[in-house]
Amino acid sequence: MYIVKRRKICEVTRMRRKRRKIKEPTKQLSLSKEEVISSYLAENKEFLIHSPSLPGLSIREITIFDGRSALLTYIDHLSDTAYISQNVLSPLFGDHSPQKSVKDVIPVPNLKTVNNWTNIITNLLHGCCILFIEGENDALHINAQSLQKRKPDEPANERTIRGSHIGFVEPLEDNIAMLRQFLTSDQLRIKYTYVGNENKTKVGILYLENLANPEVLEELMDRIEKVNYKTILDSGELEQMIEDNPYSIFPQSLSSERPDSVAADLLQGRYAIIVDRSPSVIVAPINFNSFFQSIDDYSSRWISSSFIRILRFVSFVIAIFLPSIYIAIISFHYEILPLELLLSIGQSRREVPFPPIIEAFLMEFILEMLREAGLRLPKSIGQTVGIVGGIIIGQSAVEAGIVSNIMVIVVAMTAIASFVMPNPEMAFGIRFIRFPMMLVASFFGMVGIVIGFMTIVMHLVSLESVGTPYGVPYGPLKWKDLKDSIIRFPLWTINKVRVSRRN
Amino acid sequence: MPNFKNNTLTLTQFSLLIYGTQSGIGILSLPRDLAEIGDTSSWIALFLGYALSVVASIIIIQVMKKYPEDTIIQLFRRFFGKWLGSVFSICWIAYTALGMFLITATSVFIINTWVLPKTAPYLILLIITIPSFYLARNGLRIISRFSVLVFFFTSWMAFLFMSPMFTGDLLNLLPIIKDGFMPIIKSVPSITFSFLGLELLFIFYPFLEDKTKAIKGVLIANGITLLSYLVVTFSSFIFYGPYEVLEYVWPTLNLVKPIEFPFLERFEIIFLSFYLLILATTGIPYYFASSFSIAQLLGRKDHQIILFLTLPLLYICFYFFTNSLTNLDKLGGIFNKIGLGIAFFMPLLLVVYGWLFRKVRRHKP
Repeated sequence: MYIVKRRKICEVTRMRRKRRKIKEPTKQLSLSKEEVISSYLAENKEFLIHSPSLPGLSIREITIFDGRSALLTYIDHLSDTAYISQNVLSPLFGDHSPQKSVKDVIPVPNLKTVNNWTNIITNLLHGCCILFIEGENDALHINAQSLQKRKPDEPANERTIRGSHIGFVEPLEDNIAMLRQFLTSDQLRIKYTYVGNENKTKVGILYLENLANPEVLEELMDRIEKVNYKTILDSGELEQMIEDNPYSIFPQSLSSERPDSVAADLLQGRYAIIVDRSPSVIVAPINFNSFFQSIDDYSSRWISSSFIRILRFVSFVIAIFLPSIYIAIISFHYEILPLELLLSIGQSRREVPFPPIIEAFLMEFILEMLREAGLRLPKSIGQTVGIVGGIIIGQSAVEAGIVSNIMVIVVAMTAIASFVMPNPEMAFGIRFIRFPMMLVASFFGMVGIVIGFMTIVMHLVSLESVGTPYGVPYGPLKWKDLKDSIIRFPLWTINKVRVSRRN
Repeated sequence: MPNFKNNTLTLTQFSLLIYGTQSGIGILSLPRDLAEIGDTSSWIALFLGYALSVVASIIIIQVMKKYPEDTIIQLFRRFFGKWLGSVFSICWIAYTALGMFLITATSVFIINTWVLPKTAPYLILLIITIPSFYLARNGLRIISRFSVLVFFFTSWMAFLFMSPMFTGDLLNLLPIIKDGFMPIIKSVPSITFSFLGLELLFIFYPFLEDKTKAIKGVLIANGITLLSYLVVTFSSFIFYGPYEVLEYVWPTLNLVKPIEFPFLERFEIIFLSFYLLILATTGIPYYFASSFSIAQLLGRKDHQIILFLTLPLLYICFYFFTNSLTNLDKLGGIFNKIGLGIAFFMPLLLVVYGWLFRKVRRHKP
């Protein structure tokens, strides 16, 4: 039901997007698809040497065991030379009876034949090795990719206390294999597609047939296929292309580098979108509540994880509203504070010449700067930035009478509260909303804060993720799903819900 | 045809949407209105008001039931033809627009007098209308999601209103029925005003997913409204007594004033700011109803553009309107009278007319 309407809106947004972007002319290779290889080696060699799209091609002419000559081609450093010499060259040079076909001699698991140049060039660029044989109309295609791989280790920004410590790596196939280790169900389906005009990137969509909603898949496939963009280098780019509302500050899909949390999401009937060469996997459709859940919540006991959940929601509120509440109280409603507190605040604000909004903006801005500065610096210098920023600037700003003590406390609390959010995308959204909230609070006080709060709630309620409501379980109220929201009920009570929920 | 199918409401959403529309502004002055006419026992009239509004809602449902895909605009056109139907539709639109204006102006006035006395009413109007327009431009489903959320989010306020009950004197409620039943019956009309909002059923009904549950939804909505009115009335009668209530313009808001926490004085500022949420659930359905009705009248699918065109109109009207208590009272009186006609008498006429209409139609196919 949501889907149909959503699709209409989607089409409109997509049209808008299309209009925004100038269509890139798709560059084609200068040969037609039908052009096939010749059975004469010389002609093929001629073509390969003069082909502009194959720099660094290495061509070797050999004579194989049955006396025919052959041409072995691959691109240096893309293919594994040791593998080629061991599995291709040495059997070809070996002692075999001439009746044997070449295919029977080469001991590699996947051996295909190709005969048109477009395919051959694509395969060569992917690191395959192609073997042309005199008098044959087909060339042999041997997968000898040598990829630069790293070891799967725990993702730095999604650490957990318990649970597995494995993280996704770059190649698509490895990531799928890693997911399969967690999900041995025969219901797991994978759909592949390619994205990008200039440079095709392989994208895999994974889901569990018995749990996932097929309408969402249709919508998702449709959106991915309609992506009109040069190149997708990272899943973050694809994520923005398929979002429902690109003008929202809230992320409408989740990205994770943890196979276990992606597997848990698949088990809730969600879809995982894996982009080749990107270690973060997109999970959609998602709801607002998902940004407050972490895989750790399920492995620790329910009372402690409920406490952590409440902590997260409280810090969500603090991170957005605390500076604006400070501004509202100081500049509008100081009468709501008890006298003693008012006096102590007045004491600390006595020397500050600025109105609270300037004070707050100054401090919050410095805080954001510090955070951004510390992010990309090496660890040892990062600590220095923290000390300089936190202790020296904070302390001396108060002593110099630029900001009040209370303001420093408020800023520090918001900073800590925003670190509590388990999802960096959501944390960024929160960091951003704080500034308009402060502005509104400085103009309208408490009313402004409530108006801001109302607008955020309205926005969350009207958002959708791949055509499913984003505000679940609060926006459209779903009593059953509330068991896994602010309070995480014992696992056996939510077990059924998690599996049978269709988004 | 608007796409009702993608905007269907569940029973909870339907009933809480109606509840949100009903309670909001009426509740603020209700105890005073009751005490003015009916004295201590006027709370009995609340039950009569409830019964009346339930009957009215059921009649509206009976009217709409025959044509489940029609809103009031299409119904007018079906019953009275193009021209006469349009005239009636314009009256309806004028009424909903008046409701929209009244609620907005009242909210601005409340905030201006209680929370932000130094801020210009214009700015308050501006800041209030922005979220209202933002939500109203979406479909009814999203509005109802918001209403449901606000209902649960603001349910703590009920306990707040209840707390003065325990500090006051129960004797204030006595004597029950001291002057006979006449004062009670006399206060019924002023109570039916407080149940206004149910006339938007004319717009909401086609969106309801399961039409058989309509009556149940109406019962729930009116029931919750009745309950909240009872709480507020009892609370202020017990706390203030029947004579002191009359001294306040909005006794309901004054109920919150004495509440204090060790870390928080003048709690009513925070309370009133959050009361904006409830005012939004009252106002936004009127915003939606007026722009949606205009869109229907013009045969447009999309009500967003019309909503954006009504925004400057609202500002212009506000410019010519002196926002004072007497003016608001006057405007409220007009709105209540029209509302009474639209919510209680028009459905009756429509039921009879519809019955005749179908009979005549059957004779000449």
